[in-house]
Amino acid sequence: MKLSKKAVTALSFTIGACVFISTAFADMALGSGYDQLKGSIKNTAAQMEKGLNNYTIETLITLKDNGQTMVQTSTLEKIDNEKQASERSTTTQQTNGETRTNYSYTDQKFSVWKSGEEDKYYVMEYPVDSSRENWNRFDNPFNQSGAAEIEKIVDALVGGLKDYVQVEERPEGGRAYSGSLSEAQVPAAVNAVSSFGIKQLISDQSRMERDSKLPQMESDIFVKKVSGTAVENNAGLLEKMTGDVTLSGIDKSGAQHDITLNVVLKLSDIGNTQVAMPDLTGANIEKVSQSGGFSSKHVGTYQNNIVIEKDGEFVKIGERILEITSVENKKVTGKYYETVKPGFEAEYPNAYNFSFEYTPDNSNPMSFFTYTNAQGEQENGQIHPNDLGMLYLDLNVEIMDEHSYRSNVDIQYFNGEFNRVFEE
Amino acid sequence: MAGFKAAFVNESIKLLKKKKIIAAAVLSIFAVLIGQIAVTAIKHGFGLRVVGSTEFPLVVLSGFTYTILPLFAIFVAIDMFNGEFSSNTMKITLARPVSRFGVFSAKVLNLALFIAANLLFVMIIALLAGFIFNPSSASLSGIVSVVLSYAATFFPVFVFALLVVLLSNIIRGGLAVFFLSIMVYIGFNFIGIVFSNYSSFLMTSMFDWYTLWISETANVFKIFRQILILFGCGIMLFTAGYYLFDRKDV
Repeated sequence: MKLSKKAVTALSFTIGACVFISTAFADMALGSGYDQLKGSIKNTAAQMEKGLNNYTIETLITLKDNGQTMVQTSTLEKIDNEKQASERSTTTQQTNGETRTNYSYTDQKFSVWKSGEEDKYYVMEYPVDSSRENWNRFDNPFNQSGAAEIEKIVDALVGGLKDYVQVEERPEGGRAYSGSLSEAQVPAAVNAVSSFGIKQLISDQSRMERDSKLPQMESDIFVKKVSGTAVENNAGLLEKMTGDVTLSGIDKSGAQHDITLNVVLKLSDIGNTQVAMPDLTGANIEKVSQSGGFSSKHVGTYQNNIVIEKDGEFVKIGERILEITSVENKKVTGKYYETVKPGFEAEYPNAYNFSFEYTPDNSNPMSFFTYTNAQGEQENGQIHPNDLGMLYLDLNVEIMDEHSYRSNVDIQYFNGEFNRVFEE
Repeated sequence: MAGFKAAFVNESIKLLKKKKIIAAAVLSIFAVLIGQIAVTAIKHGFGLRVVGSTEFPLVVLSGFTYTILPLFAIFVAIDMFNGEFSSNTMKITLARPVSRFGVFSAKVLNLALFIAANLLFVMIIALLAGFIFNPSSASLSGIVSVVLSYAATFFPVFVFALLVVLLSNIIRGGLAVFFLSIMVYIGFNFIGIVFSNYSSFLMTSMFDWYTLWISETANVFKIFRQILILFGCGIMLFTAGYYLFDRKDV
């Protein structure tokens, strides 16, 4: 049988279309290892924020130079979403061999922290009524504003590298991801940007630490190898992630250095983590006050000069006086007035004169007191304790919305700093 | 197929006489030179080794496949079809004792040859530049991966050129085809980035599939799927192009 030309054309077009569309659909459905890994990460982050009752995260970051450990930081963080409490301890080994430790505990009512150098716990107690959202909970980074856009950008940058992520089904359930890039596969732009970034990081680090042993790389810096693994358990949570980046370069003396940054993240003890406040009985404790830092020692008179420049000279035309009359039950009361020397009223027409009651809330930066200005209008103000014997007063604060405010700086000749007047 | 051979030679000679070939060659040399200057500047300015000698051709390739190569493939494809129709030389071509299929395949094969030759040309210059400027980091495996990358890049670019051939057989005006091709090219790249889920359907998203070929742990299944996609898409576009060319009134 001889097929007509038309039939052959139609047939070959159909075959081509079938092969194309079916494979493309299959390819789309299979997705890349990268997309699956991204899905796992998103799921894990969402569960860590909400869903898992408690868990432990271990982080280990190591920086090695030619195989020798330079800096190592390990963090152990226990989070309990039910009790709304978290514990965190960090150990850092620096380039000069010193080791530093830090410990902190936070819950709805208390914050406790201790650094390794001193045997002393700092404790801060929060009032019962203050709603404490920031007990060090885990925030899902994918829910933050702008995360979707950043994800798109990262996707575009990853581009053709998506298929480097290999996926394997584990016999015990879940998946294992792995991927590695050698020198030739790291895109030139990524190579240049990350090499430059790490170079800057090292030079910053060695500027901060005087006896840093990190090598100063000068030339021929390039990303030698990038690799990573991730293990997902059968509940779809990532249990372990590792990442390695090796950077190669030559230092001033011409010696070759391979600097490796190694990161290990582990999620463990899901449902078995115990978060407990440290036993403070008999321990060395320093209570940190938190009524905006105010205490009875702040009672007194504070003064700030009204100074203008006239005929090429500084002239004091008056004084601002802030009197704190009492600090009781976290309530600060006092009065504020401005006196202008006779003859200078025209220079400073709207002098303030009011008394106030201020209840600062340390956990809420948006706590103000209200007062009435010379025109009879209501305005907002704030007072902060500053250095020893100093207060900082913010007047005519404009509240933008529930999370932000703006200090009005257009009050004449006013810098907000008040010094205690001591009677001698 | 004596007729086909003659048609093929005929098309090749026509192609070689075009000034565009010289322009493509000059621009290719420029691309390599600019790339090398940039790499050298970064090396001496920031102390970063962006590329070793065998990676340099790959850096050039990643820029070249997205710019000069598709642009000249579009030029050549339009010249072969719209150009000949508008200058009325298509009649002469078709008056020869060759079937329309013979003429069409001769043209497409020449287009393929042009793309391959352009890639080969750039590869040789880039390799030479790499060796001259960064002689320290040459290796045989590096050269093999460069050759493999350039060879792999041929296929998606050729399939894209087939799409341009199809367009130039649908629309008469060469300029309209040119702009449409550019729009399609930009559109495909845009969709590939923004809606990356659908990138499997776009041959432009495979322009950088050479990275799969030179990966340490080759993702064989992915490469196989992409070969099938390119193959299917290629056949489809070739047949559709031929069908329209065959029915065209001169």
